[in-house]
Amino acid sequence: MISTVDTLNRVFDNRIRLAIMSVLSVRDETEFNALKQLLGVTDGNLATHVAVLERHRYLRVRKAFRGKKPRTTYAITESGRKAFAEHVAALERVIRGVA
Amino acid sequence: MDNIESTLQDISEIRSMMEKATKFLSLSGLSGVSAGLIALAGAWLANAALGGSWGRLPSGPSAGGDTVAYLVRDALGVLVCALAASTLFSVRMARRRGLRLWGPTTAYMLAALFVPLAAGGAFCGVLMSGGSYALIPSAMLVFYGLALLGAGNFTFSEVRYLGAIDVLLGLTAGFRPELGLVLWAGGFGILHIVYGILHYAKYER
Repeated sequence: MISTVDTLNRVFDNRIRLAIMSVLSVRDETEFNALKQLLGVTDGNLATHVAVLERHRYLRVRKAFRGKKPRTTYAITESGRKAFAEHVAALERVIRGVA
Repeated sequence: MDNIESTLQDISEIRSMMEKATKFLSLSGLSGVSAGLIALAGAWLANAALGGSWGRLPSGPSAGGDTVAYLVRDALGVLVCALAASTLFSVRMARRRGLRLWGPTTAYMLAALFVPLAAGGAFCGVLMSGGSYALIPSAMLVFYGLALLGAGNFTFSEVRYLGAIDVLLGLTAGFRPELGLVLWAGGFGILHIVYGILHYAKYER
């Protein structure tokens, strides 16, 4: 086993969670529907993966009302940004290690 | 080897999501082609109204008021038709790529585009009030080019080349006002068509 693989973050093993983090890392507050549309996934699927990321405190959920409609937005946290950057660096190392 | 393959896929997923999240990707090459054709038609009408020699635009207070009014209507007509055509093709492209047309990325792109354009429109008004009609093609090209240079940060980055060339054409038109209409037709007509075809060939085939 290549040792650098150990530093890959298991939370980002899943492609949908990876995509959520990619979007949030380049945007400020992002609405549930915008995120769903960017990723092309179902409500339930997105909710599940968002919940995992929230549990690890990689993103922060904000619920508000715009008029009568509930509006849920997500933003990356400091620790989420750090974990994601480390994961990307680890991915680079995996490639460099073999190339 | 599987490891590398999946790592590369992860990286390309990250890249594509970051791009989707920050850029307006509903641009279609057909928008460019149609805007270019509309501009060429507008330039042709303007040339006909000016005597058909593709020469210098009228200048000074002596310029015929009717001709000026006609040219303003012509320019506004080109703007409205080109905007309508680009919107139409963007709607189609958004549907085809499964993107939502309106979102923060669209708003960033439109703001970057329309703020310099509005300033340019106002400046053309300034030139008109002073009777400097011959400089209007130059001003339109320069401001439109600057608008594209800015908007290129929020959509396909090749748009910035189009913007840079328009700025250069505009400056040339400033030095050589007798070429104004020809350069205008080149910048707004031919260049849009060429860009549209290249864009179509690269992203839509």
